[in-house]
Amino acid sequence: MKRMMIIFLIATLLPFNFLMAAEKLTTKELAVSINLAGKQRMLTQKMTKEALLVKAGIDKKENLEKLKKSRALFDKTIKGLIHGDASLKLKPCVNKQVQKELHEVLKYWQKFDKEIAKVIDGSATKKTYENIQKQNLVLLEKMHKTVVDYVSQTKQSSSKRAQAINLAGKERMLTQRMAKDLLLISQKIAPKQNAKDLVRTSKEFETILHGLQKGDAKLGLEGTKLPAIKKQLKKADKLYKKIKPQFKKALRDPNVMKETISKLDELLAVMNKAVKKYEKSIQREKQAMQLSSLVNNFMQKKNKENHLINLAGKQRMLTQMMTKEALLVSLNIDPKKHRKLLEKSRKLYAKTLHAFAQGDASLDIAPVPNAEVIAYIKEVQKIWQPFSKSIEKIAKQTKGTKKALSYVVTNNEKLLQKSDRLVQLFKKNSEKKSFMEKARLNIVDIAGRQRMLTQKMTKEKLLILAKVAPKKNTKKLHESVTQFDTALKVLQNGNASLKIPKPSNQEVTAQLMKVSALWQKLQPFYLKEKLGKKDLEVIIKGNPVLLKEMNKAVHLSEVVADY
Amino acid sequence: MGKSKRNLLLKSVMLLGIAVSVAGAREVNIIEGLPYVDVDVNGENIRIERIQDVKHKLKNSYTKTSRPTPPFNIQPFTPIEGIKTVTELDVIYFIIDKLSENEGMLIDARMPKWYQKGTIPGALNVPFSIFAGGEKNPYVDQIFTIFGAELEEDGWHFDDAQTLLVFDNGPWCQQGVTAMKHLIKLGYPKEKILYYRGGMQFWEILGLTVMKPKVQG
Repeated sequence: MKRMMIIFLIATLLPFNFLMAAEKLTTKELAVSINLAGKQRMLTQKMTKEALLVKAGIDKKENLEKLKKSRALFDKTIKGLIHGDASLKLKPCVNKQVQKELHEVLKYWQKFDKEIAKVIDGSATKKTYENIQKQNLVLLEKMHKTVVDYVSQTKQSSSKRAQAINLAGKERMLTQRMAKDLLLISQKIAPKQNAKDLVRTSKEFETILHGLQKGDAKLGLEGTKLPAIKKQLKKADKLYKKIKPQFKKALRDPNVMKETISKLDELLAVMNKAVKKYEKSIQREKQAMQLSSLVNNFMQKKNKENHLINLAGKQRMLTQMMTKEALLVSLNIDPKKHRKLLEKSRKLYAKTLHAFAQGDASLDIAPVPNAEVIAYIKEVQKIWQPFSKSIEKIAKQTKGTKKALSYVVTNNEKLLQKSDRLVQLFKKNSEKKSFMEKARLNIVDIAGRQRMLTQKMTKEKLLILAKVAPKKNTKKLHESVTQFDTALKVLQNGNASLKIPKPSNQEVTAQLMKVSALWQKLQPFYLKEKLGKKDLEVIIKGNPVLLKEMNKAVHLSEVVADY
Repeated sequence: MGKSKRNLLLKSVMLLGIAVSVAGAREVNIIEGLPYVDVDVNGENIRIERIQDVKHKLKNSYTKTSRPTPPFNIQPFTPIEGIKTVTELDVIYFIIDKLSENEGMLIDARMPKWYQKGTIPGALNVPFSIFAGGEKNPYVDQIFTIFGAELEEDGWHFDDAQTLLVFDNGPWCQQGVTAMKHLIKLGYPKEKILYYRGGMQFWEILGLTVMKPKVQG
């Protein structure tokens, strides 16, 4: 689980492009290159073993054919790794360091190949076999270094699973190295040195096999948890335990030698299957990581659209909230508190409007790239500037407060309309296409508008109390109350023509019920013609609570999975 | 499922070496003789099996019978001509046969919020809306490459592309069908798409293992 968490973090933190562009080759192409480069290590040992089998006259014809095939495959692969080879699905290596190493391998290969050619054309001498014995390990070492650097280029090197695949691949080579060592000893080519190598090789094979199964901190292995791979490794273990006791007998009896070499080939095939299973598992993990990173990136973009519409919606509410607070200040109702709130709302509106155009990290908004929206933001700013100055005057109680209040009362609805148009523009430019995505936007918009109405109704009530155009504002108040009431019912019951589904999520329905209960209590006070002091207190205290609960409903409609 | 087909499934399970116990100690099996299937999920082994408590009942949103239409229209058995609709056993067979061999991908086409609540082990989340917007969509090339398709000069080649088994919440959900429609429009071959109509609701009703993914952001 810990590793899955790490994968989650990597997937979340690494941008997708980084994962895709770690190398110019695609993940799939790189996997092919690594696999074939890994196989080359095994081929160096296989060729040596086959040359020695030819020398020993064991299935000479058959081994000569095998040697020709191994030689041709090594040659084709090394050139393919450097220049690309469509038949092997190899793309040329683009990493400079690895490319340099591949050329180095090619140089050593050409030297080694000359000796192999002599075995094939029958001109090999004692010297030829001595050269093969010396050079095969150098070629192996060079090829191994290249594989390690190939793997490190893929950012796999830190993963224990990548280490497992690397070492499982090495086991293939070790099977052939053991066979080669046995043949070298039996043919008395540096017997002491090769006997030591056989002990070392078999020990290494055992250690790695154990580590792959049970884990080995020194080797950086954690032991596989996958039954399919466990089964394959168990098979290899069982087979190896049958082969190892035959080593001594093989050196004395050519028939046992033949059988042991054949069993080691069988072990190679078993390990090869294990490697393939590892490769497939890692490939799937990579797919999962890449898709996860991609989806994460996509969702962040989508959430930003929702966030933008929510903030734009909030601006509508702020226009009404500012007007309401200005009226409360002018009516001398808790003026200190409302002056503070007024200034806070003004600053928030200004900051958000600026953020729409220029971006703002603290609000998690990127600058809007759409020309139509940018032009419109400038229009809103034109109306906002004098409005803001008036609000500031009221909040700070500087000269001209009365005139400022009159300006706010006259122009707040113009600013509201402009702010609302901005919400609609954001909605229009949203990439959301499906029914539910569009429905969600409509819900966020309507629920968001309710927040504004809570403020608008209170503002209108205060205007009536202040005897500012009472007839006109009473009419407006009734309209606002009806709008709030209707929209709340739409949110609760759904409306097919507005493409709003009825919520089935328990959290959403419970929250809307809560809003509805609050509204039932407050509504009569808004509609009451003659308002007492206590009645006004109910509105002033209840209004922020209604706003807060409506805000929760907007948030829920944004985040729940099952609306 | 007929006896011969079931035998074929069991034989395939054995041949593919997937760890499946044939012991009949369990009361609730996937089918007789197949108590569970192991899935490799990012190197972790997750076992797909059925809840053993025969009195167990669902308590989550999949117990709900009615949802408003639109958008929750009941999907036809074959919503898209040419795309095969499959059952739970086919999904399990797909996991054994295709997923473990990297020849197929189990695609949860729901939005991430749904996916994170629980999905079929081994499924990857590719939300249906990520394909919207046609060829201009910046995500399509990257997703198709992950699916194994290759972009040549003359367009996308799907010879090595994996088979996608797409699912969503169930027969009342439109997310999987929308994803498949997008895929086809973008050129993904119909024969490389399968539709599990039962979706998460049927999967859960049968008490099959659901996992909460840790990979998805």
